[in-house]
Amino acid sequence: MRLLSLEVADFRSFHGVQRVEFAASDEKRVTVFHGENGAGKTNLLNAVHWCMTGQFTPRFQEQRILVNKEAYRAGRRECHVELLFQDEKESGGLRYRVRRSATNEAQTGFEVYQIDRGNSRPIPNGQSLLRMLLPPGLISWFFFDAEAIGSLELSGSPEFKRDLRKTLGFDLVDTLLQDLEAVQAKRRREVANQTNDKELTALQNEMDNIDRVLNRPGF
Amino acid sequence: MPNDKNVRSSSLKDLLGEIEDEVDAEQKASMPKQDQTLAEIARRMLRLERDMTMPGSATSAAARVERLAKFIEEEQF
Repeated sequence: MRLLSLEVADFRSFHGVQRVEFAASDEKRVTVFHGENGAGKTNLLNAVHWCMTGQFTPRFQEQRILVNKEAYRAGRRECHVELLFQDEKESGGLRYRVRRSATNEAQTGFEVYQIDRGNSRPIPNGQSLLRMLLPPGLISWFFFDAEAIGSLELSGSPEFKRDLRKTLGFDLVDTLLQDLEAVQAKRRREVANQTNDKELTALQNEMDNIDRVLNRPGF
Repeated sequence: MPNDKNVRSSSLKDLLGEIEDEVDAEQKASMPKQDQTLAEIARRMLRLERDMTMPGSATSAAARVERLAKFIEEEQF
């Protein structure tokens, strides 16, 4: 995933509409933001994080006050963040636009569009697509507050391991292995039925029950 | 319009792809005959699973199990 541009409007410390283009070419792919304390670097990070997930980084303060204070005083009650990004070339290189808006009270809009030759096509279940492109267990590895790096989960939680395997493409192998276990169980049942062996059938039923318990979520 | 950088990047990708294919082929050639057969079947099985789980044309788990069982039945191990 490559971030192409970000637009923030009356979001936190950003007054009015502000837009930034990221370095996204193969040769120049790093964008550095340099600023004094309080200049808005963490707000910028959280604009991206919030736009993609609807949530903020752990230490982000005053999460309920999203609309820029000066804009609020001028009567504007809504802020928005819009992010343009491109999927990896190997995954099709598709471009997406995500837009999230909110008042200080509630989220007021969330849309994901796929951009094809300049035309935007809305994607009905956008959050699912974003979860697929950037699994929740990996978000904190890409968007994190560097001042709070000590609190970053480095031990590899089950969620992290699962999402990492998914991102690396191992989920297909995992699904195949699960399906092959089911094929094996199916064959065993067929053999038990064909031989009419009651003991074998009972043992297979017992194995199926154990598998069901072991595969129960949270076990 | 392709520029020099794009052409270089594309050529490099092609070259890496060719090297990868060559390494795969060498590894396969060094395997015993039975392992080569199994590796080929595993590759085809993985491709079948990918087709059955592709977004937009995904099939149910029960249908996948049926199709895989049929695939294994038809294969010559």
